[in-house]
Amino acid sequence: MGERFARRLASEVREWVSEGLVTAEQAVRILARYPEGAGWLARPAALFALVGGALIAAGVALVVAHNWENIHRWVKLVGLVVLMGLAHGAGLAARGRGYPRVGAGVTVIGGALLLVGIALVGQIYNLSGRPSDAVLMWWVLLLPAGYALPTVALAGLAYAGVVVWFLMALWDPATWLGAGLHARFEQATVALGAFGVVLFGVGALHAGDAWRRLRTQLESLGLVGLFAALLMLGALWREGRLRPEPGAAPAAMILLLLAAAAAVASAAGLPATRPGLRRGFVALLLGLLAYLGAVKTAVATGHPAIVATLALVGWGVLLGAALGVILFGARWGRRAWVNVGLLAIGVEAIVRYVDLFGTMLEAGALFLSTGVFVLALGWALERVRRRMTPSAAER
Amino acid sequence: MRRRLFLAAVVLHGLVLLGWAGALERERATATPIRLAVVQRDPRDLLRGDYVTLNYAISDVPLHLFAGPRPSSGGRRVWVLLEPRGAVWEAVAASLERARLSLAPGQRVIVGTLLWGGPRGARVEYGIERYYVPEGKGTPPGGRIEAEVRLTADGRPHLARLFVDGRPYP
Repeated sequence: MGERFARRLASEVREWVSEGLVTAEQAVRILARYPEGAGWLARPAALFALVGGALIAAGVALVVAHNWENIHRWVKLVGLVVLMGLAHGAGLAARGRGYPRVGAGVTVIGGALLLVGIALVGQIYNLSGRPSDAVLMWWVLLLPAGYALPTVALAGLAYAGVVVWFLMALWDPATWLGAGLHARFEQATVALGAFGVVLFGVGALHAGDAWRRLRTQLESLGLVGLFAALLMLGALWREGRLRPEPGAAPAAMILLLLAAAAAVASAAGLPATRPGLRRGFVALLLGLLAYLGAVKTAVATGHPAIVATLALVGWGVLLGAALGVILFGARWGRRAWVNVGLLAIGVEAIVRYVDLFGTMLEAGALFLSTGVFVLALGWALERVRRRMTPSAAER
Repeated sequence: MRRRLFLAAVVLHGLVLLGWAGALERERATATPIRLAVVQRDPRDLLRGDYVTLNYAISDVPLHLFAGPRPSSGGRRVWVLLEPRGAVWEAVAASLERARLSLAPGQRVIVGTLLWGGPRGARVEYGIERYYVPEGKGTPPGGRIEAEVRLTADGRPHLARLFVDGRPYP
């Protein structure tokens, strides 16, 4: 058993005895069950095995690298597929022998090798298609494998691929998404916010302890996307760039509809404390999507007064959304929501502060006062965070 | 059961990679080779090693060559009619609709994607703009560069080789 774990257990057990949770005799038996041992890395055999293995791997890599051009393309490809299979096989074996984390790590290497394989085919055959298509192919193949086992690490890697693919497609004018939104920053920002809600909804649907980490990551990532979009719309307004731009952007509208469906579906994965609360949260998400939809429509149809009004309202919308997310997060024990909500408020406060004082103060005074403001803000937000997450328990 | 499903998914990964490569091999083997003039190149790809970015003479299609609708927003498919002019093939007509182009003897059609269109013409991407070379050889020597491209019957191109002043590179 690891040294750190044994030390921590001994300290915990002492507290359990003093609190009367276990008797002194039970404490001795618990500690005897997990004897303190040296870390595996401290064993000479493990250390030599590690160094030897690393040298062999480096040697094989160097031999392959030096002869890369002379290796037949099919040998390269088949070799990579075999490596991928070995990685997944080793991951399964480690998992079966009670080392789930090692298993997950090796399986992730197998998943990453799939992307390497796609890039290798692209290199061998000189394909120069859209880079986002390669990432799309990767996550579409990887996601079912993540759910099949199931393995949170592999599914998480696939969702990371989804996010990368979306961002790549959004900025590439040759993709369906990018063709409609490229060089239309307002519409792209609305699409980013809608994508955030889609991610959030997908994350919320992952019920059960097995998926807790993935759910937290997807929900957090989704909320970050949503708040980033609201912050960016605020920045566009400040720079005077949020102007009417006639012309429909069906890609943004489709994403908004998809996000609305995800928001409604997310209710099924939210804690069933009170039905009214769940409805309230879904209403909050739908309200935010309605705001993004209104910005999209106003920008596309070209009503300057409406665009200006919506942009002004945006600051309040961001604040209200962040507060809502913090309150619901505290109510349902979702620490990550509270953290993301507070982060959004913090960033918004700093942006507004610089907006207000940026042109009024000398550079030195601005830096000094902003530093003090950021420190005070961080302290205040941390106090709020600690108060909002008293149990600090992720449900 | 879940273990088997996972293994099936992993086997599928391998089959997709090998099957994809096999399909590309087959297409290349049955395609017709043509040569295109390269007008500009630029090295490097961080993800997939060294490459040369190629800009073909047929990448910029003048507006007067277009039959039918004018090219405007990007993302649309473009058919470009090629004809041999000396050692290389050149664009002689183009359209956003395949039916508007009729092939004369000796002509071939190449399919690309419209990047953007303007009052003077259109910028077209064919998917053969990158040529991967051994590490450290991303910059071909100066000279006349031509690309050997294999065209399938339906016009999809595969980049096969590069020639600098008539000699294979690298």
